[in-house]
Amino acid sequence: MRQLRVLIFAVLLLGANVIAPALAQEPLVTNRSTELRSAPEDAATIIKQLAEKAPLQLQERKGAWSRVKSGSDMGWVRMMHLRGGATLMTDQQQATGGGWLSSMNRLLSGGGSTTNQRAQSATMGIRGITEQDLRDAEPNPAALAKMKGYAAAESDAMRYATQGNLAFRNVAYLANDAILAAESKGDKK
Amino acid sequence: MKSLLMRFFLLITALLIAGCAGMPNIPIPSGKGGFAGLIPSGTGAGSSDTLSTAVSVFKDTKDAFAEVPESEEIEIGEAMASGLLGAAPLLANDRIQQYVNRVGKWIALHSERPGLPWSFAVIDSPVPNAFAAPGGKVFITTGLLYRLRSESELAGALGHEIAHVILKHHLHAVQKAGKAGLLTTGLGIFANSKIKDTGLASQIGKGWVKGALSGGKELYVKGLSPEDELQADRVGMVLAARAGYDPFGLPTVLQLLQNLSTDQQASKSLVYSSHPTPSLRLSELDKSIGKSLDQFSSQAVLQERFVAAILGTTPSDLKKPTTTPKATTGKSTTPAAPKKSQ
Repeated sequence: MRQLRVLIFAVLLLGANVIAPALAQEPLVTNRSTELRSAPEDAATIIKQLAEKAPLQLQERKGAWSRVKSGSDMGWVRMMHLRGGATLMTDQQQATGGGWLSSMNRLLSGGGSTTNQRAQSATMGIRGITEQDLRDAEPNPAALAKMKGYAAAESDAMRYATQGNLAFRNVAYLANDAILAAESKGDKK
Repeated sequence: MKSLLMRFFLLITALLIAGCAGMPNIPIPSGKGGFAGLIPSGTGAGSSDTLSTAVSVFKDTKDAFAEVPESEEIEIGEAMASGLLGAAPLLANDRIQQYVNRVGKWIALHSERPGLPWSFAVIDSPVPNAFAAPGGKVFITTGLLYRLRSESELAGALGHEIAHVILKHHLHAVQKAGKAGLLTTGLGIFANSKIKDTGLASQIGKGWVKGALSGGKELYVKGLSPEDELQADRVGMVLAARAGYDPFGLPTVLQLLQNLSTDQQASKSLVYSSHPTPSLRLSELDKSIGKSLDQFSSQAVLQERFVAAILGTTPSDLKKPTTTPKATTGKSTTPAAPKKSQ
């Protein structure tokens, strides 16, 4: 079983860039008129002006910027000017597996790659937590105890962060969120 | 008293399952009756979208109720967590559970409430979602986790949930419901600690909740207020940035969720209810942050570590890119055949 999972994910890793292929197929759309630039910064050369609702394909992410493909052009757009574009795809596009989600569906359903298999994976009856589940649910103190057992010690979390070259940054809350956060903290007294 | 406790448990469970999540939130007609009809419309700040209004509501809530002591906040959260875990199993993978706990704890350490008993769980459910319960319990489904692409995206999703916890959004939602008359006495019981010695968990163990849950009442309720969700987005981004991550992981997840909302399987998620749409959340975030977080754009993404942690490989085991994105764009709808590693 574990091998199967590893195998499934190995498919993701193969070929190129680990995750970039997945990103490459994610459809996006501009939510306003904006610029396609040659580099991820406001001062970079404008390759072309993008109209609102311009369909794009995500290639790469970098902070406030996303590298996208627009027709034959490649460039950077402010990521907050982008929205998911799947809803704008035609049924035909979705049926033929546009978007990296369809790839993931194939992978999660066992590595198949045809449209039929994709359709099958979408209707094979996998379900999440439903209202019925919750209605039927009985508290599971054993699972809760196990969950609490997974808690990471502060020292462990800090060591792992250091391994990832993560370091604390002083970043202020936006708007009045700081007031609310402070009040919540004050509740402890 | 007993029935009030039952109703209290049902409500908090329902609030929990309504999710919040950093999830796709497609409005659907909310059902009448059941618990939904018992919750004040909007469950909070109503349609007003000004922060000052949110603040005043917050204060009203505080005035209306004695603050729940932290110990009881934790106890309530554990009861909610226990209920959720009764509906969906923990993912049976210690490595992934440990990974998410390390990342989550690191982020929580940079919040206003680092000392809570933070505990994170991956639950085995294919529908993308994430949850929080008072006192430091956070959940993410495999349906979301396996669709993420980097640790900074995970940090964004967890940051959103951690924000709900430190700001006591779920706790306050319960209190607001109580303010409407449903649970005042029940909360009073908590506040007076009359059941504190026995503990809610043992009350549950006695089986009265079982009877209540089997009562067949509709548990469908609205989730947190839109203001709470939007605030958790803002605070979540900042928490991720404080922890050293690229703060744009969260909006990246929102874009992903917007795309997932068209997926038949994903769209079954319970959280497609009364929450702001991902598109609205992105627009509101954009208005709030402007370019203030641009300066953290080059912070950590940790794509490889994320994939390695999920797969159980070390980064050095991962294949190096063999083709450029350009070469594969638009035609690689068929993944390369899996190659056995041994």
